[in-house]
Amino acid sequence: MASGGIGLTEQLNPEPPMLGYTDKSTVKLDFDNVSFKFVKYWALRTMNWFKLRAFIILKSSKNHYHVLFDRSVTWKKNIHIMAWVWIESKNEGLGKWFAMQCIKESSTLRLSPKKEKSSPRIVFRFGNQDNETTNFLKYRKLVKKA
Amino acid sequence: MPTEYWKRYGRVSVSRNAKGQFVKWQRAPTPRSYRTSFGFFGNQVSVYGHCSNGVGERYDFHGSGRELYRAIFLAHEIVPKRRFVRVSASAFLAHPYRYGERGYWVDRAVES
Repeated sequence: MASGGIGLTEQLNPEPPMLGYTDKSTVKLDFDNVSFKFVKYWALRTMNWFKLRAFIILKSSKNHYHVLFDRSVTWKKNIHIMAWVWIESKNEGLGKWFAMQCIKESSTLRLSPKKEKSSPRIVFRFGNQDNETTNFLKYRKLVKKA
Repeated sequence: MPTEYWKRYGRVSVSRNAKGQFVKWQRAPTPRSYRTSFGFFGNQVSVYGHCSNGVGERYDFHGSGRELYRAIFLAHEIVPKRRFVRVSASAFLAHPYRYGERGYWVDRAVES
């Protein structure tokens, strides 16, 4: 019998685990309950302020977006950027996600479907993507195959 | 290239021609056992969710594409023993029960 706080309903609903892309060097952001215009504004502002060269925006579900920047940075700088965007944009979902990334000491974005949500798809690209974005797309391809 | 010990440079790799004459040299790579590893910080694939054992939450796998592919499949049935398990896909495939235990993933929201 399972132990550790899992209820009976949940024991009856086994589900495949979610798959994500994790690293320390890519700047990633996860916006919840915001419009596309808001995400694009903060992605452009962050890119210009921290000279991150390029970015892609992925739509994970309605009003939920992921942003991934192309330039690789140190983990220290990565936390700096994520915290800056959270404080400036005042997005609650981003703060919750950011706290979890600090606990794990690496940042993750979902690649697989999640319950009724489909896997995130690219909705906007800006700049020349040949560094971290390429790595991300390579791993995304692998996970989609699995 | 065969390695030699030179007093001034330590362990070096030296290449010589058929007559045994010196051609070139370079520093020998540091043996694996001398390296200090602080964990893997590269790109990883995360397998996460709530587990039936109520403890485990995520695997962070790194390695080649084939190993990752196999490890992801194996992780569907073997859930992590600890909350965060960061392991190479090859090590997980070789000894899955060192890092996890038999169980299943549960339908419950979790932060990525």
